[in-house]
Amino acid sequence: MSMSPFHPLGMAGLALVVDDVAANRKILESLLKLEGYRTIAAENGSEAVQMFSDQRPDIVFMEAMMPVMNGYEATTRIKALAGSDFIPVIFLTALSEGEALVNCIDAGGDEFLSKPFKQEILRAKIKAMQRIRDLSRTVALQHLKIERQHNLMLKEQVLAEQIYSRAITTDNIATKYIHSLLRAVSIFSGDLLLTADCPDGKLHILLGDFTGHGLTAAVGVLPAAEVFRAMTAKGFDAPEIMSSINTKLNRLLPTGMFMTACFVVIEADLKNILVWNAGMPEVLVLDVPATSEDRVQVKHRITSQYLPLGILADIDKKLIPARLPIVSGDRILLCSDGLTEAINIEGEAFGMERYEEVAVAHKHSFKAVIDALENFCGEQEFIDDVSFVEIQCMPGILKTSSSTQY
Amino acid sequence: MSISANVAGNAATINMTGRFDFNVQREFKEAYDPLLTTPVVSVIEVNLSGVDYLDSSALGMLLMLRERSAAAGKTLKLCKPTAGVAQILEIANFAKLFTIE
Repeated sequence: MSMSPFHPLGMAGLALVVDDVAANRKILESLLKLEGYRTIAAENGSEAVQMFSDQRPDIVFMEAMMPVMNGYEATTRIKALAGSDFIPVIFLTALSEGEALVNCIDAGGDEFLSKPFKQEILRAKIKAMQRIRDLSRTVALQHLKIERQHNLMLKEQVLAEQIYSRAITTDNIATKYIHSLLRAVSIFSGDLLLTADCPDGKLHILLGDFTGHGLTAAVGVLPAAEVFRAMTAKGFDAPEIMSSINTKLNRLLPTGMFMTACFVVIEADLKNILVWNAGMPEVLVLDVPATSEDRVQVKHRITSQYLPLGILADIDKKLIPARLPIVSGDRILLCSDGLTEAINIEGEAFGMERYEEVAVAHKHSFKAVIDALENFCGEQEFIDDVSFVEIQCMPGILKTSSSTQY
Repeated sequence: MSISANVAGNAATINMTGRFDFNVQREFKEAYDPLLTTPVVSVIEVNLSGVDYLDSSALGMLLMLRERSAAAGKTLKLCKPTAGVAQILEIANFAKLFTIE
């Protein structure tokens, strides 16, 4: 193959030639000019690093053995300066092929060129390096594009979630007697807390936990909420509401997706509660100690007796939960399995036992459990949505209650 | 998590060890799909003795398998769950849907 066609000077880019022998530098520079490069030259590794930093060449030709700083060290520094940009470094060496290649690659070099230099070989290696550089640039551009799209999507999700949670929680009752913590792992929460007053004075509370977390888990939240509110407002009772939510979710969600749920009904006379537990950790009802010296006891425990909602076309209507007596001051604690299954760095789970222990040991169970959970987990982030609710059975929690009546 | 399946006579067993969670989805499906279309298989057993952890996605996968087994006319059984896994299945009341041995 004859000489390459004439390149307008400098079109191929800027080449840095590093060699302590002036004659070698001159030869390589003239060959590179024929390939269309502008050239700069350094006589040792240290000068090379400085020139690279100042002028950012597109390609570097590096002699291995030089005084002051050798080619290997200089290459390491130049590659660090180049960062994510691909700037090829081609070693110049009189060593034999095998050895040369190993040494130069180890040092961070991309190719090597044996002395004495041959025009065609130089050209071929430059071309190969240019291909890699083009590939590297395409990848970087694609990465940037993906990052932009991802950020846009996140922004959209944040906005959607704000609209969504406003729609869900706005109509919950406002009361100081219900404390709740709902911490989602991603932007959307698959856990749901709903509260609504019944026309006859009862209070309905529903804590739900959809399979998974994030957007797909949140899909069923709005339909479930709408059924809950509409039916509570119309005076339907808990089994009917659970049945309707179940049917709705069964139709809406694909097989394999469901909602575990806890439905609590506080009766209008504040003397009894009803609790349906469909797949959630045990519900605890804590009593009010008679004196300040007495310990808090677990008055009632409600374990899961129902299948989660959305699995079967119809729920089991045969199971009727017991009516549990309460007195003013008793507290009901609900949590999703995200809490009991929260892990620490060692992979240990917080667990039901610890949860109960902490809840019972403190007067302010809500704060105590949250503090204990945060201390336990430490640096380890939550792997699932966490929900924790404390309901204080006080007269003021009911809409139509009058404290003198009871 | 490692999953393997073997067939002995008319019973197929899916053996699982490790964490049964959302990462296992494709592997699990690839293990049971061929069993559903094998005519000689009439019973599919999921051997949970090596499973140390089960999450709600795993429950979901079992529901999926249940639906597909029924559609293919196969009987499905969940076998030998460890204590922790048995408790999760109990809280979910899955005994109402599955034969658990």
